[in-house]
Amino acid sequence: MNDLREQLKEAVASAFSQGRVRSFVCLERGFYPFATMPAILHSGSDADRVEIGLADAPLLAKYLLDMPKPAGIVVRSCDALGVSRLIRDRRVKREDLYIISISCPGVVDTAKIPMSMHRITALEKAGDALIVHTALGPTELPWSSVLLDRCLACVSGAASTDADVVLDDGRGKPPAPVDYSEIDEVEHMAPDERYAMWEKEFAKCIRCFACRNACPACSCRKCSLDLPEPEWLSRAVILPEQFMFHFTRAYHVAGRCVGCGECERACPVGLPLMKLNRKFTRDIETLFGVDDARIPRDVEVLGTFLPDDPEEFC
Amino acid sequence: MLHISKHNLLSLLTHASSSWQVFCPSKQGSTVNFGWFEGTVDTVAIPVNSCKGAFLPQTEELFTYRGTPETGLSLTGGFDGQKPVLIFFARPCDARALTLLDRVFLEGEYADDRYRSRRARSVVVTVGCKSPLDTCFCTAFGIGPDSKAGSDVFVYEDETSLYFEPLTEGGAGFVAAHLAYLAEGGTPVSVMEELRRAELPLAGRIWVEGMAEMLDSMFDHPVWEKMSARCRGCGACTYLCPTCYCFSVFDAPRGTHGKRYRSWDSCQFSDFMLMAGGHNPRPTRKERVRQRFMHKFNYGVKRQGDYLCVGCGRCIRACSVGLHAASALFDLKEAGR
Amino acid sequence: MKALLIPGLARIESVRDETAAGDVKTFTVQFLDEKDRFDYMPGQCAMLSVIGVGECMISITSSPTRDRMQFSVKKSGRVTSALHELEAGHTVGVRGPYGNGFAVNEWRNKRLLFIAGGIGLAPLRSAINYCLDNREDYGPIQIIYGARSPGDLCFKDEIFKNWPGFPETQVQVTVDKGDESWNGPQGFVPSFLKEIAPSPDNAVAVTCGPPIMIKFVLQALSELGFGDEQVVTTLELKMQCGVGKCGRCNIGHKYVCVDGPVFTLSQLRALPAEY
Repeated sequence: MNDLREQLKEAVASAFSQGRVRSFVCLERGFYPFATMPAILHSGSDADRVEIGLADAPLLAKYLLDMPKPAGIVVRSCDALGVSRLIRDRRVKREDLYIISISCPGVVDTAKIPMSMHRITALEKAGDALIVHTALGPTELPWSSVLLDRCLACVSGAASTDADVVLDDGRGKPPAPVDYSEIDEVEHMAPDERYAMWEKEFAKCIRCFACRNACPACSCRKCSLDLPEPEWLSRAVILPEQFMFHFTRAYHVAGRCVGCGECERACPVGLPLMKLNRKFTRDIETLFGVDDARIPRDVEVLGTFLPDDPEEFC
Repeated sequence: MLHISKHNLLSLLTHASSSWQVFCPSKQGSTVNFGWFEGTVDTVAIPVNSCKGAFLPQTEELFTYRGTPETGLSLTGGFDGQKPVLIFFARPCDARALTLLDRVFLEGEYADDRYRSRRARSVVVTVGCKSPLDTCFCTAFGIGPDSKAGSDVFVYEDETSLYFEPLTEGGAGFVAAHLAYLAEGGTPVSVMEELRRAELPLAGRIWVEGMAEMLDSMFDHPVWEKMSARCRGCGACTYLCPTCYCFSVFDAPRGTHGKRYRSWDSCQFSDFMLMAGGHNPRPTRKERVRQRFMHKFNYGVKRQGDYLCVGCGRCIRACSVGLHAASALFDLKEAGR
Repeated sequence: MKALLIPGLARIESVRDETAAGDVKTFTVQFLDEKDRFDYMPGQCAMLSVIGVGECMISITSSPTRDRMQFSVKKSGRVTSALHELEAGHTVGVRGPYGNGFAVNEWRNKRLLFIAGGIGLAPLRSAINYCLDNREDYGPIQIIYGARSPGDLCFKDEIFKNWPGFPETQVQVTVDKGDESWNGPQGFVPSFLKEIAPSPDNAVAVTCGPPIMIKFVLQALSELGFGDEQVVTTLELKMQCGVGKCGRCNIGHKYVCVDGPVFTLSQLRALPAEY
């Protein structure tokens, strides 16, 4: 891991020194020493700040929108999909980017570390375990029990190959088997029961837009849900408007969701937003015969009409 | 001290809900949230949201109108006679935060009638914090796990029971109304001791002494640019903050009738100050992030006489990119040296 | 206790077009219910509602010495556009009064200089008529007013006929660009002001207009020797509540809705330049 970090620091520094980038988005040590946060660097001398991100690593693709170009980015495979999304949505140009891809063993979700272990002083990956250091001493947890949900559905922990620099230490998490069982569960609910479930979830929504603002597929310059006129979405945070908001968003990213789960990670009240997104992803896979609909491609299934599509276009 | 076995708590709350609107934490899906009592209560977790919504609902109707400006209008917007609010299991930080909101909504030339009517007869029952989280830093603001400011009843919790200590007339009234559920006996000395000793891991890192004065000269400091670079511009921190209170007022027309609402709004949203002509005094995240923290740590001190932060750590838990009151206080301190 | 955010209903008694382009209208209103009526001072504002569309903060352009409440409104956003659709006999919502207003009592016996651009004359008009109606309390009054074109001048009856008729009252009007009907001065207000070069002695200068005009008028006043305490301006920011609660219109720790909209230049200099 440290080796990878050293290589990464060097790669970031040389991207600046070779004049390849004017800015670089990566992770750096956060307020809590065991967590990381996004950093936008403007000089190679800042490269020492670069961290790999063992825990609570936010995805970075969307920062590219506002960065001075050419812009560099460090991506793990899930973030690489987000970058690809932005390129295909014509919000950034590949030639304006300098991509360093890294392999990833998964990222720890500190919220999954049991409460009894708070007062964390450090986290450490040791083989298939996470060692949680606290004032009371270290405790070992199984690595897979503490990973972010998105890692449990990881496309591949290997470094993405569509990159200017590929740094792979061979310790990337193997691809997760596709598992739609939680979608099956929702689909098998009676309509009333399903409605009640979403009603309960959406009632918690505070409409803070954390999901939208974190989403690499939500990159409109001006979101239609923000427009005062026409007012598609009332600012009243009442249940019918919550359904309107979440379904509009789910439909808008349908076919473009890269499955990174950053919306769900960003949601401060724990809405299971990926249940909606993954339902669409699976529908696209089954209805249109697409293999892994999370991966952006040049011809979008829902952006194309073919005579043999399952539904008439109307 | 009067106490109740934890097993009987639900019966007490159920009884209380006949004469009070009970606002309490309960498990909602994967999180514990404050909300109106619906038969369950969670006394362990610190909820993700604050209890401000009991007094300043996220969305409330100001009035319903019928008619049109052309044909004539009538407004109806009664606000009266609701049951008093019972906050059940605020934390000391929550209770203190309510006293800060009181300064905004109750003091000065214009008192807010709605807030006042909800707040006037309310009872805040606060439980001592035996297990502060890694995100707690209330001690930076002179609050602590056993602080009683803003509370009407203080509760000490041991393994089996909750001990009620009434602090105000309202609190005594609440306790008196539930004597049937409470037994006389003992003082939870060890719990009191535990609360006194409870340590907050962030306490050593967060420093607010002189912060307001220091910020007077930091409006144009480059630190704001650095801090705001990672901000995603959502409103999670402000909406979950127990002392953020900004709102907007808007109409929802439905043909010849409709409603006017007020709803929480966030200084972090790009259109918060956008004017009709297109001018925006805070056009980028830098100005908006600066506004949030200046409001908390400088403007609030000048206007309300205190920091508008209680160290509850909700913004730490809410922010997906680690930009929160604790990191801000830390970064500002470093920058202002 | 009075409901804080609920407007009183008022009937529009008349609507007058101020400008040739029709983008500024003056609404005279009368409360339907006497209990909603309120007293106010020059420079104070009110929240004006087009019920079903929304509210916006508008300065009260009438003087409290006159018997009808008036608002002059430039069409610029949703609410003001909707307001412009309304006619005499229609209903609006009004709540107020809000803000500090002008310190007209402190101006007694001083020379008053009013400098306005375009619709910026609306809040000053309230103070001008107030001072004219109490003429003996104030020193000489000089009004410098400008607009983009002759058609953009507001309150033409007053600036050309009514006000100049008062003793020791002078009105000087310029337009950025004249037309065939215009034989008065041409040029921007700040340079017009510098040409006129009013004396700062025992004077108060009150200015309102587009931000760019205010900026250069403030510079010009300073060059003419006006101290920061002698210069008064009004600010406008987005507002939702009008009562210092919604947290929107702050400049530093001051709220434009309750601490303003009237500020002296020395007060503004003590605040962050974020408006």
